[in-house]
Amino acid sequence: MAHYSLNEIEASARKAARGAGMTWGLAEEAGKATRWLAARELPNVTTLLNLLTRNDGKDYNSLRPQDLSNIWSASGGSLCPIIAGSALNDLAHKIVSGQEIKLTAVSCPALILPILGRASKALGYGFVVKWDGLKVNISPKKLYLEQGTISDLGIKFTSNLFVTGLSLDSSLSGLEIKRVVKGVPLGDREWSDLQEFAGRTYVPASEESRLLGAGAGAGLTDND
Amino acid sequence: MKQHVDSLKSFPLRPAHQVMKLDRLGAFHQTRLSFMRAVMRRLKRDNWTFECPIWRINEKGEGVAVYLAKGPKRTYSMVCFAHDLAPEKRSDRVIAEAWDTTFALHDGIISEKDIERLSRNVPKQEAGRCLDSELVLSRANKSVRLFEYVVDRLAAGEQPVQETLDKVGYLMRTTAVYGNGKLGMADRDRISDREEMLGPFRAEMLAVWLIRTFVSDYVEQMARYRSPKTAVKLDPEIRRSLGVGNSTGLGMAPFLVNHPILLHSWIHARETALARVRALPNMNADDRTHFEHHLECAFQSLNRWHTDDQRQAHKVDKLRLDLEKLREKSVGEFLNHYLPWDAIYRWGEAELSLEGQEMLVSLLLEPHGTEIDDLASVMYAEENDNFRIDGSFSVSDMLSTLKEHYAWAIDIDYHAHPNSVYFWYVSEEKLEPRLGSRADEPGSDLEQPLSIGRDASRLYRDLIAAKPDEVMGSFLLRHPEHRLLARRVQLTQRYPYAEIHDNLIGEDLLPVDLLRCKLSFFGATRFDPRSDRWVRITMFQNAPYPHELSSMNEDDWAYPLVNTSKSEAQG
Repeated sequence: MAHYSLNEIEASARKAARGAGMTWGLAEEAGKATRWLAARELPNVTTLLNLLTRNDGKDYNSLRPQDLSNIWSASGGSLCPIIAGSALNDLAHKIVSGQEIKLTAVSCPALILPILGRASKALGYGFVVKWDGLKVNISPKKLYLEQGTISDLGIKFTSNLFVTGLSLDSSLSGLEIKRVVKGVPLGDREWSDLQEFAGRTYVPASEESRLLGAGAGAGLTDND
Repeated sequence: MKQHVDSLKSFPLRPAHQVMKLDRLGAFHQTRLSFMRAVMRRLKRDNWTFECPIWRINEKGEGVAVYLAKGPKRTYSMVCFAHDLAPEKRSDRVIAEAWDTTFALHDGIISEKDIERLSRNVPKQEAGRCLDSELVLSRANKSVRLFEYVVDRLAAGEQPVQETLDKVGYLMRTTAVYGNGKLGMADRDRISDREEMLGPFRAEMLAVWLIRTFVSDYVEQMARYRSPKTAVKLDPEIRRSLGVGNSTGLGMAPFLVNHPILLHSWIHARETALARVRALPNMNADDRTHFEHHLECAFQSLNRWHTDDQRQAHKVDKLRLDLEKLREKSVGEFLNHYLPWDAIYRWGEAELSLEGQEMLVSLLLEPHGTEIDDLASVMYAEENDNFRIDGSFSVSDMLSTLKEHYAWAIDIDYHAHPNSVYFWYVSEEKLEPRLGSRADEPGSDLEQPLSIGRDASRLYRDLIAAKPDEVMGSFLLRHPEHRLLARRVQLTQRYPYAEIHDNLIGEDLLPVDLLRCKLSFFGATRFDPRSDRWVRITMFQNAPYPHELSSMNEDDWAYPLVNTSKSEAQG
């Protein structure tokens, strides 16, 4: 199993998300989210690949929350965690002020955690995220898995996910998940699947591009 | 560890709409804040020592050498592989399969086992893998004629002629210097809290400096192999005049656009330095002498700046006239001004070309290390910490921010062909950024998000159509295509130098300006554009070698005075 750096993972995840149809701004979120999960040794590239495969070719409007009341759902079945997570971030002021947001049917929910993790750090507030038997506490500096296991985080779908504010006064409990910067092990298949999605953002060579792309004279050998 | 630098006590900084124009950025020169110089100051200050414990290069020029750089807390190993490359395989392009030399900077003292591992991967470059014990990967090709010439002369017991060396300036040039997690290497996060790595590209600069050392040792060794009895070493001064060449193309161009906060931090440091100098109330005799000395050095260095590029050659000619004007204008004339350094700057702004103005900025910084050198260690950025969009922003807030910071972009008609003539894409064949012609080439549907101006104007139009009190969180849910720009607009509000104020897809775009800007921060000199899309430079030319660092001035080499009588005598 080869090891990959966080930068390699982020860059490829961003391209892959774009290749699978996300806008560049959302693809950046997907890249950062995958990096964040990888840096905490949580299910990362596999989770993103599950999402991209599941939503490949689907229309954005079928994956987004239809409205921003307290219960979010998608018209096309399940919410995309990158779209929903980004909206949670953008509207974090609502959650912080005490509202609970319920998301009905979400694909690959772990990808919401990084986006809220970053929001928590930036805002200085905490969040609690719950789905199925799992509970994650996110504070500006720390992350705790209070209920459930790390492998539970890798699930492809949950029918209900809840996000609420977290009081930082109370002591946080659970398994602390720490950030580690070291090479991330990935299977060859995971890496090649990621590259396949990423490859959709590349432009095949044409006669014109071979002549012009890098600038006149660039194709010459350079023995001076 | 962030150091806070208070720029408020100094002069107002030059505004972004003045500094961030591409023609000005493309006229930047190295300064004392440039990364190469900052690295040298750090190594000297902390008494780093260097040795070469492994040298296994055979008569064909193949083998491995290891240099150790030992600091107060850590040691780094520069592992150098030399290869016997057939001439037809030598390519200056970033995409190639074989090189004359390949390199890796390893974290710690390298073991034989790791040398063996690297020997199976480093020579393959992109086709190999590294581990997170490696920090930098690079490769370099010979400047064949010059390399052979120097081997010949040294083997015959003669020194090479300085003028001949000056026409090229280096014996080898790198075609890529990779760091920060590429190909399995360590992420920057892993080393960013080390003192010697404070500031950008520190590991990369250390590696390039050691590559230069290897190349000079290598050429002397090859001369000894050719003629063991007669061979001599390079004269130390001639040796010092050799730098490391570098060819840089479009692959580097998107970097500044893709790292907006880093770009801001570089420019902000440089502008803060200028403002501090302009705010100084006096010009003492030492500083004046220092300034005049560097002016003379810079003026002389123009004679060694060779380029066949007509556009650049013309700019160098104008720069020569500018510096002549500055020499004739005695600095003494400004002595009695209320703020003498500011008076020189303002005179320059009125009288000099952009190349001249920005060279003047470099010169103004030169005498003032005490006031500004602290800025060199804050020129990095936490892009991740600033990634978040504040969705509670209203549409009307966003519109006014756009009008304030993107005025340069939003009034352009991007439907008009000249304003959107290019598109940026990543080539499947080369896996490198490229610039395509929208009208003539396929692939514009796969455009990379570097069309910042056009996309800002699109965001502006859709914001105007939205309700002014709508929050951005809701707007972006309806318009996910604007998410990237919305983030940049919010960043630019906090980091005004984050954005280049020019159309990066318009017909007037000169990509070399992007390259020149970045390379000037590295500390490169002798910019030699080979087209509007790639440029050759020289790095560490005239700098001390590792064994000279403790006994020489580490910081006066960027534009050295040439001892003309000596070079003529040797010619």
